[in-house]
Amino acid sequence: MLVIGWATVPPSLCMASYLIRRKRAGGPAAVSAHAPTRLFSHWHAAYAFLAVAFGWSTLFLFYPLAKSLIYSFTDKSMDVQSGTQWVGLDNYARIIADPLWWKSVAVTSIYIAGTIPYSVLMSLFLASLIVSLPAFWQTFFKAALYLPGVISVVVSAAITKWIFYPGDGFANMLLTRLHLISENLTWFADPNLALPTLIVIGWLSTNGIGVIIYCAALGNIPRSYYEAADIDGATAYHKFLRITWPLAKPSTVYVLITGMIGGFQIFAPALLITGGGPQYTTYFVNYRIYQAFYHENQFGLACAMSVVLMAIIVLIAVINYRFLATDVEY
Amino acid sequence: MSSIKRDLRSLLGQGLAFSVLLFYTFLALLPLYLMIVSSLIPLGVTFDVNDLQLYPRNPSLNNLFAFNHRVSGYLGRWLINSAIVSTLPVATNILFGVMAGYALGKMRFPGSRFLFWLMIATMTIPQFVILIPLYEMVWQFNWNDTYTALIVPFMAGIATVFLSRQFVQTLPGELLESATMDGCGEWGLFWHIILPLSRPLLGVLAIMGFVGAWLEYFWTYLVIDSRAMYTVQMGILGVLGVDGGYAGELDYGEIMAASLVASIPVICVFFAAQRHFVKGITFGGIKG
Repeated sequence: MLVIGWATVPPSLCMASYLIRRKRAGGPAAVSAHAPTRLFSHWHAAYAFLAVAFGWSTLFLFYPLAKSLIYSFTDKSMDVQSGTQWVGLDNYARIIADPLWWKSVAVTSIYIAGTIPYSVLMSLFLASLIVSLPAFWQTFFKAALYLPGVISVVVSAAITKWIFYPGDGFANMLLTRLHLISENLTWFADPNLALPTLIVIGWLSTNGIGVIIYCAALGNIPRSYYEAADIDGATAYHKFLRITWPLAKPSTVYVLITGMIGGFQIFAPALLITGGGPQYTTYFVNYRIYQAFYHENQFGLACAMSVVLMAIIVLIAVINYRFLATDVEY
Repeated sequence: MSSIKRDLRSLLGQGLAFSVLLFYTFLALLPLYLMIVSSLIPLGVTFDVNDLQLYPRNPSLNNLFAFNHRVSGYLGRWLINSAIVSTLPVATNILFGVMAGYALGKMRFPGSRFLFWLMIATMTIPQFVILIPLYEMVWQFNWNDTYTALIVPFMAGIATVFLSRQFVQTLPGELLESATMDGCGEWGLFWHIILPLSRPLLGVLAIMGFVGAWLEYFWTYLVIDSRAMYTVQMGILGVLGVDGGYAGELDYGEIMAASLVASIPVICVFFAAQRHFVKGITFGGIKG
């Protein structure tokens, strides 16, 4: 339920899996097993079939993307009268000099460092428990752990606000009953507590997508490997380290890449719960961009910021892909 | 002897795995449970420790009616709006997506590799890069506060094309060749062969598309002003307040009731098509 950090990974991220699989399979040659075989002369038909989808994407995706890149060099705003001036690299210079930007990068990085590694390992752990169960219970647990993923972030935020109500909220009541706290905590109103609370929520909310992906991966590892290891007297720890972990690595890369890309774009808790506060302790990168765009009416600056964010995301994806993707074949 | 011992150990291991999973399932579903219970009982802003109801003693729908009253009876309208924007664009998106996926997956033409890598590259685009110019575009065209703004930009998209390509590519090519021999045109091939064979794909795309659109709130928040045009997510958001502010007096019982109503359609879809979700997530076909 409290899947604010994860919510639903946009379907476009499914594409990441392609890259990883491609690398695993050893390059283009191996993928082309099902490569198009139809005649070259059909190309005009191909363009006709592509026309609507790519035309639409040009209008509502690529054109805005190009516009964003251009705006990032201007002082564009919603204000029509003042006109738009070309300002060169001014916006980028302003980002470097903007303490709030750096604060937001730091806050987001802390959030990612606090949640993603835990989430990846926990998904793998839960998946390895699930695959040892009978089929019915596998389906049951996969569904139960994924169910919170279809709850909207608005609803999640409402529930979170209610559970962590500063007064006699559910969390305070529970912790008082367990004698862990003596007086009510103020949670999202406390500068020292707001970000840690969000991170703990990230821990408590299981990453259902990660669990399902790992389940698929672990289900594909041949039983015989474990049986052979059993005969050799391997411990559970060694079986995990020598068999499960290396063979599940492509999935780890996928969960890590999507997790970090999603993590850097975390936005909902700041918009819906904390308002970036208190004292900017939950001021995420996307919230900084949103402020520049929606409240400060500085489209140029906001576009420059989102272009920088895009660069960060590309960098993360490339680094993860280069250093973690491996050729696993079995 | 040793086999009995091993059986016992594996049984013990399964029991342990089972209890750990049960605990995590409990954690994952607890907030959902709290939402259901609290939406059915009178509830103020705070939690009364002495009157903790783990199951609703006198369940009533008063919270829901109170919420609907608070938002001047718009709840039904919001649900209809949500239903419109999460079906219409999704349907066209799937049709155009599968068409393009067919071309990319089964035809060879100049630029196909370029288009393919272009699609891959789009996954690194953060939402604000697109949202800011799109927001401006909506204002230029006077689309703000209309269904057009909620529907038109999403009537076709890259993600569907990509998933369709991945699926269509795995379909047997012989069928297409023999149909071509029989004089079937390109559109006939698509309509009579590719579409029927793609039924599993269509299921996955429809469900993921519907749920994704139903959960969307931020674009609505940007382009919609009047209450009559809200989606149900936006309606809850309006009562909840944004930017950390509170939109007046909050009654969490009412909000939980509205949240429950907003969640029921997707939860139903989820239970009805739980398999499709699992399939959709592992669609790219990562093995290992």
